[in-house]
Amino acid sequence: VPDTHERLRQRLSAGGEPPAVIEQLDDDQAARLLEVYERASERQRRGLQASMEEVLSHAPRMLRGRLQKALFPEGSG
Amino acid sequence: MSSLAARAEVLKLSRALGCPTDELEFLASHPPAELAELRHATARALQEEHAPALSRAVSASRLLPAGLTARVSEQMLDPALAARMATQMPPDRAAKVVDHLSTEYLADVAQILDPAGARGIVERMSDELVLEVADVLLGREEYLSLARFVDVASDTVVAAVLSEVADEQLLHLALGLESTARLDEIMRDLDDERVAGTVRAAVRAGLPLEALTLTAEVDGRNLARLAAGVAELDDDELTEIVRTTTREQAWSDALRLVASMEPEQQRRMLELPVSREPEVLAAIVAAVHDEDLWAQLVGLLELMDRPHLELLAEVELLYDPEVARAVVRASVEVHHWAPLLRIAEELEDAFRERVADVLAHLDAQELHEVIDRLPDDERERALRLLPEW
Repeated sequence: VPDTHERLRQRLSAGGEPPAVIEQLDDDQAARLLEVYERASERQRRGLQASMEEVLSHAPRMLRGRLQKALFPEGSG
Repeated sequence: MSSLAARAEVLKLSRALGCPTDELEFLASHPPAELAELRHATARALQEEHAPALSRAVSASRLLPAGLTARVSEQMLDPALAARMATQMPPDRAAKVVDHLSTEYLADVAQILDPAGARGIVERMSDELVLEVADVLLGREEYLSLARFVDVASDTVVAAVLSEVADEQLLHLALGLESTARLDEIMRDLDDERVAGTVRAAVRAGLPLEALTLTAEVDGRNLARLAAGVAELDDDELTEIVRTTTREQAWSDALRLVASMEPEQQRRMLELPVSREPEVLAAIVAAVHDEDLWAQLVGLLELMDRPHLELLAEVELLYDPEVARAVVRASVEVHHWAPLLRIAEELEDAFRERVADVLAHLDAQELHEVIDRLPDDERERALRLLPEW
């Protein structure tokens, strides 16, 4: 299991090097930052899912099929 | 000074992550540039982790007319999500949707949106609409959010906002800017009175730390104009600045400011009773030592009267051999020995002996070379003070 610093590096290195400040954090600080980030990410995931379902349920009937396909190509939702 | 700039970065990061600022307060001791890098990395990571879902949502939105997409967004999308979707959309399409959104909702989104990613959208929005959103943000005192858009808004919009805001609001906007280069540019376009008024308004509003932070971010002519604004403050206000500077350990920045003042203004600062307090003098010497600002201090020594110099001579740090070396080096660099000689001549014997003890630790060859290069009268004075050399 990667340690907290490594998990933080992995999560925050999208499209580049991980931010340098990670190396300056102690274990407790790294864990707190990771926890805040993971909460934000989960909130965004749930928000996106809920919004897409909501959009679908309120869309004009004639557009629902195409919207369903665009939003949930694998058939979920 | 970094503390206020770092706190501003923590606030921006907490906005991006949707958490209370308190939860990330532990980051405020890190350099602002590193925190800005963390914020950008966080925004990129959140965008990438949910890229497939965001991309599907954006694709779906293309099936709806812009007006309907706007209505659905405003009713159902959390502003943070709308901000992420906006930066995924082709800017032309996003700008069309934006035209149908209320300014209140746009302001909600602007508080979270990454301006760099939204440049293409902002550039396509009419100046009138951008100004309406800016008005909402000003009304909410969301200076940090507004400031972040100064880099991407048109010059017309920036000029209109700056002409509208009060001096104190201008300070908050200036402190929130993403780049110091942009701050210098904006300040260059303001007249002298506006620049001086901004720093005065900050101090009078009980924000001396913010005023100092602003002075730390600029150079040259802008720094001199800010210094002129500070110099116009009354004694009580200047005293408050000195106390805040000492409390916040911000003398390295404050010395740059004082060094930009006219000699008469510097003398007035030095004559304030607070400038003679032991803890203030100790804080100044510590900052000078930490940041190697001896050249700046040597210039000020000339303006100090004898009682002031005697108080300064009581600062223990001055008797550290490392410090003595730094003073000698700085004096060589600025070719300015007269004030140091005057101090040495005016101090009580006990202090002179301590100075001689410290100098005895210096490299004799180096000190001889320095003394040899002094003008005749100064060399004689130096040798009188240091007969053993």
